[in-house]
Amino acid sequence: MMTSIAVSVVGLRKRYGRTVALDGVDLDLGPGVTGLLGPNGAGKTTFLRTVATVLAPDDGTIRLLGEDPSTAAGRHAIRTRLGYCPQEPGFYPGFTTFDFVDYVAILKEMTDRRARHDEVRRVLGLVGLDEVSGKKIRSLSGGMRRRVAVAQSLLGSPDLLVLDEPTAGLDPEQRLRFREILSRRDPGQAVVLSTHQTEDVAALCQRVVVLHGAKVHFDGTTAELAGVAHDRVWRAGGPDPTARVSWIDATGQYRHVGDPPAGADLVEPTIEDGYLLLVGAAAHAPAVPETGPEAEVA
Amino acid sequence: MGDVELLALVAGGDRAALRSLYERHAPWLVARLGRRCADRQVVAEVAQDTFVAVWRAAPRYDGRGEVAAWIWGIGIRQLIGQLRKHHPEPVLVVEVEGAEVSAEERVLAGVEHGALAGALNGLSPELRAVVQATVLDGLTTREASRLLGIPQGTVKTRMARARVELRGALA
Amino acid sequence: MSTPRSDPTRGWHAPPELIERYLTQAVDPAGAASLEAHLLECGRCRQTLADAAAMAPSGAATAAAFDPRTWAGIIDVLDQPRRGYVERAMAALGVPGHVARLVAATPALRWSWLAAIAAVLGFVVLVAETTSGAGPEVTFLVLAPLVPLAGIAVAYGPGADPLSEIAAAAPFPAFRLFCLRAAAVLVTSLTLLALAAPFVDAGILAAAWVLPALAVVSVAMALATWLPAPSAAAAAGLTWLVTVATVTGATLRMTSATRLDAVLGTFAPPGQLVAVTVLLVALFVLVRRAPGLELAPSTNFSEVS
Repeated sequence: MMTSIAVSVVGLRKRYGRTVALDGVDLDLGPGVTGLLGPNGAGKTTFLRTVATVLAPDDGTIRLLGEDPSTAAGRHAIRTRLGYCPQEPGFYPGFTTFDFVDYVAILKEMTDRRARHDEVRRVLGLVGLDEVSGKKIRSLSGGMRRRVAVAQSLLGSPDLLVLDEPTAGLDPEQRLRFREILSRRDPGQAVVLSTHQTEDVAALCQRVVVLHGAKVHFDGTTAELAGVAHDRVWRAGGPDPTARVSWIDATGQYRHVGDPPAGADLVEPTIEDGYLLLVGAAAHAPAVPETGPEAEVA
Repeated sequence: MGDVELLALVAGGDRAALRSLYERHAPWLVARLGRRCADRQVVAEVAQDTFVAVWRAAPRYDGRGEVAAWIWGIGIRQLIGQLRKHHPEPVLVVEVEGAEVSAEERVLAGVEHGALAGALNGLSPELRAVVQATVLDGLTTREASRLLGIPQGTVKTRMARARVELRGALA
Repeated sequence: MSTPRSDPTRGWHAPPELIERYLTQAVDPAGAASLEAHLLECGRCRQTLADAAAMAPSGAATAAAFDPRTWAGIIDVLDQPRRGYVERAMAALGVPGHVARLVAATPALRWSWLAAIAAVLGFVVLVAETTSGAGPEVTFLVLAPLVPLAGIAVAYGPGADPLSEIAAAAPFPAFRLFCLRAAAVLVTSLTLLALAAPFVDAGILAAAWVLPALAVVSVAMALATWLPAPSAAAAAGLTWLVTVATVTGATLRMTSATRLDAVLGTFAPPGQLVAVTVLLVALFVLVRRAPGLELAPSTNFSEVS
């Protein structure tokens, strides 16, 4: 049964002891790529794990691919159409690339060996790792290991693909390759991925959700996120204390985001500007982050 | 890239290098095996098994001798192993009626073997098969007996007779 | 048959007609022998042969051409996950391939763990052989049920299964996976124990540990439907030791038996009956609670339904 809403979440709540990870999240996600932006501790991983049926929420209504994950039968039905790549995928020592993906394929209940091996080869081909399928995973580079992890999530052409920080630790060329992999997906597939990189969001996502402090601060298109900072970004030769967030950009000038003074040199907002405005508004962000536009919130 | 370098890559798990080796060596290997065994199916299987064995044994190549010779050693022994299982008709060296001996071949044979070539051609098929197995293919008596489907004793007596005949022809 | 360095044929290459006739079996034996010897040393002629084989329309030559189906067959074999001894043993017992694969990845089955257990048992056996008295036997009987528990705890301790997160999102029932692996641990530890037991005691006591061991493990598995597996194993182990201590204490108070004989009282027929009862109850609980249970990545079983 194809439902256009792949992920439907109402009032999702989850806490760990005293820490609230998700505080009443409402979201509907459909086909296409949705990016989850937000600093660490914002609840991104908790949300993704819940969508991947790995975590049970404390409260709220969830429907994934039309099924109810609070029942065992529902979870099973969801998981046969789900692909999940966690933030820190682990590997068995001594497994080759092929062994690993084949093992996950068994966990996905592909019992026919011939068909399973063909599928393993297919996903390894999708991520460009067919030449190293015989190599031990421990001898692969970090970027290749992440590709292996992404490959296993593609097994069975899932209707819902959940990727937690799939580009973390990848260099620009590897990130480009990841974008190519994603662009080969099936059109009806729903993909949810989390990232720190606004460039990934700009390049990959039709939709972006900003999660911060366990709440959703933005849910819309990438253009709309940039639009949040419309007429709120300006350039100047020096610092401006009225700005919410400032940094020195590549041109050597100051870029300010906030409430511009009269006569300010306004510039086109980027997704990052919109994001910083939202996040900076929600927390007491420092006036000048430590590094430039590549500021990674660790 | 030379075969030795390719083999070193294969030893490191490089699938593309194995494919290159396969493209270079499978054709002659299949042709040569086909002259020791008439069953094309068996030869095709043996070729497959040989390259799987090459993949696994690559780290153990000691660098001595040609890679092609190393591959042949693996291949002919794989063939012998297969023959044990399937017992197809052993093929003696094929005789074709009126096979022409070209001028080049005569030159080649003359330079490589001298009078030996003519003597070799003059042997009966059974003796020639034994000579081919033990001398050309480098098999032991036991391996030759398995390849040809004859007892080891027969291999030895035929080799002895072949030696006598060749010595006689060369004298 | 190799050409010496000063040989005038250096620089000689096989003419295409020779190769053609070789491929179509129309060459004389000596010529074939020469060509074959030459091919072992000359890459260029090997390539000429490959090209000739590729272009020939039919006959023996095409068998020599590069065949993509044969290459696919090679890859298929290369890709086959290499089966370790454990998997092959299971396959011999009729276990389906994919199940064997899942079980074989069990951390507790890894040789190092098995070696450690074997070393411990070996030590007990050594002590039994070199000392007299019932001390080693009693130690063996009391410790035997703890061996499979240790295996289960190791198999499901924190961080023991690096794939737990991915497995949690996969359809394969989590508790079934746990039971499969626990079964594997159980079988191997019981086998090791059974092999060591006759050395410790040749009599009936050599088997007195079996039912208590099964009972203790089943309690651990049943508890594992509430607690994380390592805690469940620890709780079951503790319960066992407390039981032994209690029975021993009671026996000492009520009879004039020696300390060692009092411990052995736990393994007497009444004790065996109790073990069977506990086993059945625990299995019942397990079967009732098992369906629908999750194995959360932190190795908790959290009931969602």
